[in-house]
Amino acid sequence: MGNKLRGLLLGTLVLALVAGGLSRISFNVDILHLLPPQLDQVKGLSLLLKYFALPDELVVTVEAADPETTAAAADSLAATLAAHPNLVREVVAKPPWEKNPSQLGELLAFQLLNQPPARLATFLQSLDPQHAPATLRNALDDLTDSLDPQTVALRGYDPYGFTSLLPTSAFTQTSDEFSSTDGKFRVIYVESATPLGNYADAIRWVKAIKDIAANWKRPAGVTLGFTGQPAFVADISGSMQGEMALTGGTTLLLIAAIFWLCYRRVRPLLTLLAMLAITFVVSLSLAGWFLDRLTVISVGFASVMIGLSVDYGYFVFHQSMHHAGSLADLRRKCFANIAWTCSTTAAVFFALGLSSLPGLSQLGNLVGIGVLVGAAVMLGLFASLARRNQQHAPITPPVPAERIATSPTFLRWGAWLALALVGVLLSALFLKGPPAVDFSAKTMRPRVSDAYASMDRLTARLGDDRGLLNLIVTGATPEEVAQRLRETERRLQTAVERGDAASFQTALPLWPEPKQQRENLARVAPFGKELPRLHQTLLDAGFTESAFGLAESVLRQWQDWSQKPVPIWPANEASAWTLRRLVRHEGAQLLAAGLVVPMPGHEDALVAAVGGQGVYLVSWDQLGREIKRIVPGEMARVIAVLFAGVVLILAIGLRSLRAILLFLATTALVLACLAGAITLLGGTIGLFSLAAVLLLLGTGTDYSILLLLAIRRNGGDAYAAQRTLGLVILLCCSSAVAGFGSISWANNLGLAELGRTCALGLAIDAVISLFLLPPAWNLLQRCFPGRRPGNAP
Amino acid sequence: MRLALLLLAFAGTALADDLAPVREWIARQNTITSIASDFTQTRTLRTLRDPVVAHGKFWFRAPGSFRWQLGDPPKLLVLGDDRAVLTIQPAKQTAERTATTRGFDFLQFPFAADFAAFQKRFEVLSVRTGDGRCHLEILPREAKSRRFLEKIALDFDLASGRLLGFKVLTREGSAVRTEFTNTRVNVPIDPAIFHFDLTGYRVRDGK
Repeated sequence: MGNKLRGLLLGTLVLALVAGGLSRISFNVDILHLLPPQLDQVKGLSLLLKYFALPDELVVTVEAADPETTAAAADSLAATLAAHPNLVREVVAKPPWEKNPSQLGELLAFQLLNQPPARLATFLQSLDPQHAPATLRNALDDLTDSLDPQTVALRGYDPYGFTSLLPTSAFTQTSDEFSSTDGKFRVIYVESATPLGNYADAIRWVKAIKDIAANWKRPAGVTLGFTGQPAFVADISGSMQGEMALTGGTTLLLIAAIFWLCYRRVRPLLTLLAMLAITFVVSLSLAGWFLDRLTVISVGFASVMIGLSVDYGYFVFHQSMHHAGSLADLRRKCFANIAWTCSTTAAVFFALGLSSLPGLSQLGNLVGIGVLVGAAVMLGLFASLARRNQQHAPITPPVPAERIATSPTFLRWGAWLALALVGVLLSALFLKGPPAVDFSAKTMRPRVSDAYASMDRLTARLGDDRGLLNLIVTGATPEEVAQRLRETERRLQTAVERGDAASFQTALPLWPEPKQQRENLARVAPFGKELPRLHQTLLDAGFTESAFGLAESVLRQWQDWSQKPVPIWPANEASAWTLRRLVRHEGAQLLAAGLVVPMPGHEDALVAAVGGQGVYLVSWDQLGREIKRIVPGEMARVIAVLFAGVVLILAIGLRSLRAILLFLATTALVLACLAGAITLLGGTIGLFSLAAVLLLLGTGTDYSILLLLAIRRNGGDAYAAQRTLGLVILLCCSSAVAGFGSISWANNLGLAELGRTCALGLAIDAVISLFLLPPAWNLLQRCFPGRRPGNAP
Repeated sequence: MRLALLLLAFAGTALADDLAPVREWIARQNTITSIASDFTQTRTLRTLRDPVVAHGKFWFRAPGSFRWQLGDPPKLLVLGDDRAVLTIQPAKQTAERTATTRGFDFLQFPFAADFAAFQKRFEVLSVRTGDGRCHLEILPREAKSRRFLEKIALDFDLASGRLLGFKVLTREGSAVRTEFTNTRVNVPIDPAIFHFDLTGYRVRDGK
């Protein structure tokens, strides 16, 4: 009773821990979290996405064949969405100042406050009683003569010339955020009523908005698109959830098929699958407790971990078939082998945890945890169940698959086919050349995403920003950001003169200058009392009340701000809309953004010349170049160190130069054939292919090592070793290929590249190790017979 | 003003009381070799108590030279060809050179290859005829213009096809009415009209 109670309590505790861990799982869809955080491009783009990507704003695109239909549809949909205040805080389909132009006064008042005090003082002179009438006469002349519609519109509403202090670019809209030039494509910005705290919130909210749009009476020929940060999060998180289940399920099915083909027993098959499910759930819950949010790459862990953990299950089951002793004996018998292979595999995957690529590091930690849990589950639970099964329904070895795998015909034909395969792959490598290299950010994008497709469409219709560089300037204080902005503008101007940049625009005109604000506020505050005089002078000059609105709102704003501490930030709806993608000043982080148009081919020079402390000039293309420049070298160093470690262990374990050379030759041949296979399939080498090489060195080389160890155990008899390990290598390889292969179709292209490269590499490694390494050993024996077979390798 | 130039170019062509004559009028743009006219422009702005009035002259010569002159002596001049537009302020001795690729390109005649091309750029809102004249209301199809413009109303003499005047109404409530007088089509024009000596002027490149 006491034991039962203890067992129940322990079980409840374990279940609670597992449930707690699983409930903590969350996804991080940001592809930048897969990359080394110390890279400047990653830092800058992360800041751009974190502070300017607007996590609660969905971008809805409306497209039709003619501008009238598009405009009517956009207005109607905006009104429909705005009628759901429980879901939507704000719907913006037109610039806020179109609805209320007087709101622009606040932004203008703010920009004027940031002007050099001497400049503002000169302008203020034009408002004094002696000069004001002449100022208005000039405005009247402009209104009579000017051919420029912008000047007519501006001077009519600003006869005192407040806007004349600002550069013309402040009023020239370079791109329209709401409509394409032909009016056939419109954009609606929809903000969530509540902050979208996590991916589940984003999925629910985006679905609710899409449902409203689906039920809206859509005019014929109108197409809608949904993009922006919530759409990306919903799209990618949704596919991550689905993919983890799908790829894991596919792997389980393939493993089940392999097991069935070998042993033709349902009960142990179901038991093994249950063990794998337990391993998966426990590993995932441990990940929930110990790891950060899962990245898209971590989704692949389920398949990889299952593919590797099942090896221990195969081994335990195979041993149980040949075991007649107690359970403790069976566990003892399996422990040494499983402990050795599990610890080396886990060590390799945990070594990935040291990688500078966070996505890969997390995958390594997850799989490392998974194989340890898998080993514990197989030894602790499955050994007992397998032994019981063997007692109730014994399987008499050798099973048919074992007989086939060890038959001389199979091994002979295998060798010839392996030789042909190597020939084809090496020919492809030599004839077609090595695979193309692609380190661009697009290799980490989802294969299919409505949000990405809509964003691409939006970029194409509202102004192609591809090739532009985003400027991000940070600092601890407004003064520091302002100083960095000025220095950046100076460097950019030099870059323009040098021919590295075509043009640039920074947030400097929208950034507060506290010192100037303080001085200017003291100067403009008295003008609040001048309002009646300025008003009357304007009416006397022939203007109407409408012409005084802007001046009045600027002067009143100055009056309001006169008692407030600097720095002063504009805050009304129109200002917030203008600043939202250019300036951030919430909390401790202060950021200013900008855009730079580089001269083609001068991007690297520009980034090097402008970037500095707290100043980032970034783009997705530059990110690809930085990855290509830095990561392969770093990865090569990790691979070299890992490979050296493997060779050192082998040197100690095998103590045979011939075996070491054969191992090196096998590994080199595998890598060359892998390159040939990628070329033949039209693939490219990217960041994740390099990671796959790392994994191959950790897991794939096991096959050749096992063979070489078996040759040693069999006193140099390579064919005996081949017969002993034939089925084991085929089983392990099939399950690992199933695991990695199932993620070859993952939606994330990086993950798919990793899975495809690993699956190919493992299959090639197994084929070469199993079928070609033993004949190669024998050939070496014949050519250099000096060694005594009994000591070899 | 740019629109005024465009519309003035139609002055010497035929206009009838439905879309068919408009189609014919546009088709006959190829016959224009030159135009000379006086104009009066009245700006009724929401921000001004009384309308402001300006007088000026316009010349056009194929294949693309024009001169728009405000005041006499000129207060403001715009000289253009198929490559650049020069805006000159004699009183300030300043000039601004602007590329013609956008904004002024409709001054190159024929303005529209055919009626279909015209319709591609403008939506015809209404056509009315009476008292020997045609009143045509149009709206540019370009989204940016539509955001600011309510409509453009043109008046043509049905008999001669001469443009009498046009009015641009903005959504904000202002209007600019331009009336043409003394219009002559296909008359000889001194080439010197399209040149201006900028010695001593400060010339800058506009955007």
